[in-house]
Amino acid sequence: MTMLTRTCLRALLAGSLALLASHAMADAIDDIKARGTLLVGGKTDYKPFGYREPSGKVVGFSVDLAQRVADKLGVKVEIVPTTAANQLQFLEQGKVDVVIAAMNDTPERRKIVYVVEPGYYASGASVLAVKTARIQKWEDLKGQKVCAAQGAYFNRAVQERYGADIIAFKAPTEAYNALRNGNCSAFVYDDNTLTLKLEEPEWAGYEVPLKSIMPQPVAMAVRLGEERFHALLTSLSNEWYKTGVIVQLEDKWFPGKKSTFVQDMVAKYR
Amino acid sequence: MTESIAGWFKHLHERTGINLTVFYDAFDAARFVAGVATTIELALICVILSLVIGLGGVIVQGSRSRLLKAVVNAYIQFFRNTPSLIQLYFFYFGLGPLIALPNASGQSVPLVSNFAWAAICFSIYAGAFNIEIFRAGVEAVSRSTVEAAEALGYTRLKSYIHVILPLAFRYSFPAFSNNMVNLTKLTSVSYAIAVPEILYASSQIWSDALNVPEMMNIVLVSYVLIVSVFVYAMGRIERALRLPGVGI
Repeated sequence: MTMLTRTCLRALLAGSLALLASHAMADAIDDIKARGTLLVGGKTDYKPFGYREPSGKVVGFSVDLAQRVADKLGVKVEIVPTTAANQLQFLEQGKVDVVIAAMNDTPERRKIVYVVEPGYYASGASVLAVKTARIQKWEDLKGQKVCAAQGAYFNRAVQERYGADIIAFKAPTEAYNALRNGNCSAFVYDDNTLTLKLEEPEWAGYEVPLKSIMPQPVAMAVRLGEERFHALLTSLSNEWYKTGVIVQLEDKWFPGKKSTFVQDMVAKYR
Repeated sequence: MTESIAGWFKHLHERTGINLTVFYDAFDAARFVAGVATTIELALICVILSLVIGLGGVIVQGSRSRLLKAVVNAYIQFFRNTPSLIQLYFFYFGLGPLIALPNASGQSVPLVSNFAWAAICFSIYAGAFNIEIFRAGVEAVSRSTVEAAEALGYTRLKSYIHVILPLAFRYSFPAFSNNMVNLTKLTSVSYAIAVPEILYASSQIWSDALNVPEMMNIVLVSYVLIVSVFVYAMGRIERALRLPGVGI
């Protein structure tokens, strides 16, 4: 590669990367208090973490936690709808102060945002498929069309490891629709959400036949460099395990479920 | 050679944070190249189909049958006046499930794939514009030329095929070429129904590698290159079709 093309390429990229680097704003906590509102990037189509009630109000596991963070700061909370594919860009651009969107903690994401430890729940990937398709193991997906939601961290693995032909839609709603229409033989998605979907009467002929893969904690995230906000959220999430908040929320949003992840975390942070 | 290029881009990532995975990660490279191929394939299919629709439509518009003309006009109005993204959703999610057959396990499977719907949808969308573009060309063919053809005993259809359309095509070529450039860019809309073209492939890559700014640049550069080659080819065709003395 010649020097000239190298310089051109670098100039081209530098222009857009400058956008990323220009976060020379005041501390997020100051901004939030001055504004009087905590802007939370959250999902609105992701039961039970964040979804719309028939009244239009966004509720869920993550929303309850967002409310607690806002209470701690003494401000109001506003949920800004985001998707897996754009949540981190919303955060980087300052459109939201924190992402509480059942986002899975991955090494790639850690490079561009501060992920808050410990995570507040854990989820993995499984598939929703019509019962008559008789999918019994992940290898059965080889060469099959499998719907997915864009931005999910396990899409690539399902394609690479099991040879599934992934068709990823912008939002889970479209993927559910495509699955129902027969455009794909299964829908690979978050295991918690899919299991809950089975309780709805219109999904009676469907099942979640596979054991979950790639379990990962789901965690809050803030912009790189937000030391004070990150420290505050870290101590908050410690406290949530200590005082039983997460256990209560699990009971509220996953009635009867006692996940090993929550048990382990409670033992660790007690 | 490819090894050293990959090494250079890997090094670039480690040194500067500029993460161009498509140049060093074989999996990302493969899906990106497949995306470029899909975009080109979709664009070519749509250009050819929309050209056929445009020529067919303009011949029908010139016919004597009131009914046929009304049908073509209704088609033009309908597809010109609705956004192509909405049409795509309508075809894929609305109409697609109705055209289905049950498979071995009893699940009904649509016969028309997302790629095919995108090809159909963009072809009839751009085709509607092509009819109007060619009509303008037909109207620009001088009355005396048409009368001369009729005087020589050409039937209406034959005079269209041998005299009017060849001239009209030349008159309307610049506008047609514009419409086709737009059509090439329009293929990116098929991202919405998960046709694995450039934008879709790139969004898959940036979801995994979180290199949005880098991929946005690559997407832009890819479109500039594809469209430039296309514009160059259209320019060559236009020059080859030139008729000295007619002013075109």
